[in-house]
Amino acid sequence: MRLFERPITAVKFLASHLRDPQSKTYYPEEERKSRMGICLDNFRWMFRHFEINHFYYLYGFDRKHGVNQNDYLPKRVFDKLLTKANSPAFVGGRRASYVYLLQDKFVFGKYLEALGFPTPRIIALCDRESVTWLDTQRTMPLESILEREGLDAFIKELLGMCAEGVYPVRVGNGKLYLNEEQITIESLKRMLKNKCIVQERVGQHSKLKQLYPDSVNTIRLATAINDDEVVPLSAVIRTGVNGQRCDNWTAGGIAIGIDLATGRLHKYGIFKPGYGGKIERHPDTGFKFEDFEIPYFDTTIRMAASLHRFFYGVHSIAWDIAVTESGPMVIEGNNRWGMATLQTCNSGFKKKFLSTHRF
Amino acid sequence: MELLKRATTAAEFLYFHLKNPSSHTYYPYNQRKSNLEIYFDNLWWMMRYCEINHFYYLYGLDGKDGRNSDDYLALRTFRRLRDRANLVMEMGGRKANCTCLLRDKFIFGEYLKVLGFPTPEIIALCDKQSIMWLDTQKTEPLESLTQRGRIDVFIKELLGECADGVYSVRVENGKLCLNKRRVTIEELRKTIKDKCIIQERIYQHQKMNELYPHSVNTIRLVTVICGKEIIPLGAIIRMGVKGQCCDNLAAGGVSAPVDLETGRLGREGLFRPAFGRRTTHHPDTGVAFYNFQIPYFEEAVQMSKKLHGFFYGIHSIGWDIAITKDGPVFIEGNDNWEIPTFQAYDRSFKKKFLAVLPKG
Repeated sequence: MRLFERPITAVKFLASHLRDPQSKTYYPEEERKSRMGICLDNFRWMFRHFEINHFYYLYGFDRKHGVNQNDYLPKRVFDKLLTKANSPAFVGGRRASYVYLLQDKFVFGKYLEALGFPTPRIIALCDRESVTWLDTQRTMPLESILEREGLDAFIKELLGMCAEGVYPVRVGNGKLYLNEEQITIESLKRMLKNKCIVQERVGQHSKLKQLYPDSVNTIRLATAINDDEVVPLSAVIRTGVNGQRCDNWTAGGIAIGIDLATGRLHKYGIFKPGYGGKIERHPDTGFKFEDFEIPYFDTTIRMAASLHRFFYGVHSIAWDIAVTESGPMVIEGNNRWGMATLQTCNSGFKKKFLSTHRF
Repeated sequence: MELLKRATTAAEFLYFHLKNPSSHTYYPYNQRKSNLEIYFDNLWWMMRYCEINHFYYLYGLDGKDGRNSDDYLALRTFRRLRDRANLVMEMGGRKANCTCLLRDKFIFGEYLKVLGFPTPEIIALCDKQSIMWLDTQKTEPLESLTQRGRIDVFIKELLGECADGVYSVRVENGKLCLNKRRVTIEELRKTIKDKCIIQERIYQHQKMNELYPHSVNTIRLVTVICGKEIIPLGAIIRMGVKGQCCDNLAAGGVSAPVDLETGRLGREGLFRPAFGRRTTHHPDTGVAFYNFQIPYFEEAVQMSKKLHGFFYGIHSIGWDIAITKDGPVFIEGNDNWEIPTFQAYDRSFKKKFLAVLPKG
């Protein structure tokens, strides 16, 4: 049965791709290929790379001119290279896996704190039953969270990914609020499935609030180690939409490319396929992207590069960085990261990535 | 070819074991088994566990005092069980290997520092060419080591094990000494093979100096996560001998058991088979082990339990703890700790270890 599953999926995908190219294109203003051309393109991609190209329209491959498919890395190839590059490293003839430093939010936060890099403060470690408050190093029942009047934090699963298992909580007048709705300790207990951190909430720079105020709009910056040097590969900024508190691109947010040299935004922001196309202004705030300068961007790049030097066992990392009034703040680092936005928003990504790759 | 090689090694080992059993025994005054019995014991062990039992005499299995080989875990079996519990943390359907926290000396040191546990301060990261000083976060050539005034440190390879790649370095009046020998920067460069940390030297408690003053005599304390609790499983102390500055057993050091309740040493210490047998006194200082009280031992146990709480992804850890005048200091933690010395002292150690292993 499995033998037929993949061809059937491929055929279904092709059918949906060809159904209404007009609605899927990111470049309606440009001259585009015929249905047959699109069909052949996708077939060719499948045969060459053994994968369905879910980002065909995002990369603008349906355009007749101005795009070369060879300039783009297929997802499968990228994932394979990334996994290999970030796999256990040899240091002095001994092998160790360093990706855990990025995977575990508690360890990541504490490591950065030790090295003196700005990151949101971790207040406690908790699970369904108990909280270990780091200031007193005392383990108490989960109910003790109510005694922390004024607490405004995120509870995040230790190994959570893609904003999964993240709960914004607040304590006011001895009452617990989740997403500004009052809840009981019992319902919090039901939500907490695994060990979590309690991490203070960060604010963002007023200039970034203008872009979109409801989410912390983070920079996704990829860096890689190339012969003992750390090089920035590509950067985008993500923002939420429609009142969403989360800036995640996969959850419907917008990604806008950043010029690495100037820190200025590109003309267009892009949605994930299925959520929208490309836009010049934020749909909620009307804020125009082009030439908007990200505050502290130069500092952000330098900070990410010097931080990556302490993650010497991981070849390439995608950093999520918030920008506050006082400068950049590293939220997390990812050893497994998607390159779709990074290669769409900044040309030359494939070349840069491959030139730094340790095979 | 490999099979033949293994069979030859086994035959060589058996021959060596049987050549002169009285020179190998740890209990020369006890009634011992015949050569044939020893031969069959070892053959049986090999067949059961597919390994050579290098600790046959250390465990006293050559004696006729009723010691049962079933009370001892074969090293191969132990390593398999230990690694299964230590190498993979599962949480919310995701898996992670947390051992870099212990294996990389830089990460270990920085993690402990930020959690507020005492550990020797790491001053810099270096390799053959350069040093990154942590106070200034500036990278300078290796030569800058001699331009920082007085320095008294250890250079340790990041992933070094068993005191491998550890060098004592002193700089005074711009002169560089490596393991108490004057060297040039070029000679130091040749010694450094890979990325290293530069870590401040610590000085041990006066009472520990009485035991043996030339090495920092560290406690090896094993703690395990058992359900919601963290419990100490066993403790020994290691000491250098013959002027050696390293307390490592694999390098010839001597160990003695420590009572977890009282922090007092047991009656007899043991060497590894290649370096000696049993001793009731330290061979250099003549200090008797029996009832010797380790200072701050209770604090060391409590701190280890607390610290293990922050290494939640690793089931069992062998901590190396030095005792200074101010209290315990964590030198390192090992997810790949070994069992032979512990079970040589405590015949119920196997049972204790198996009882705390996670199910499944």
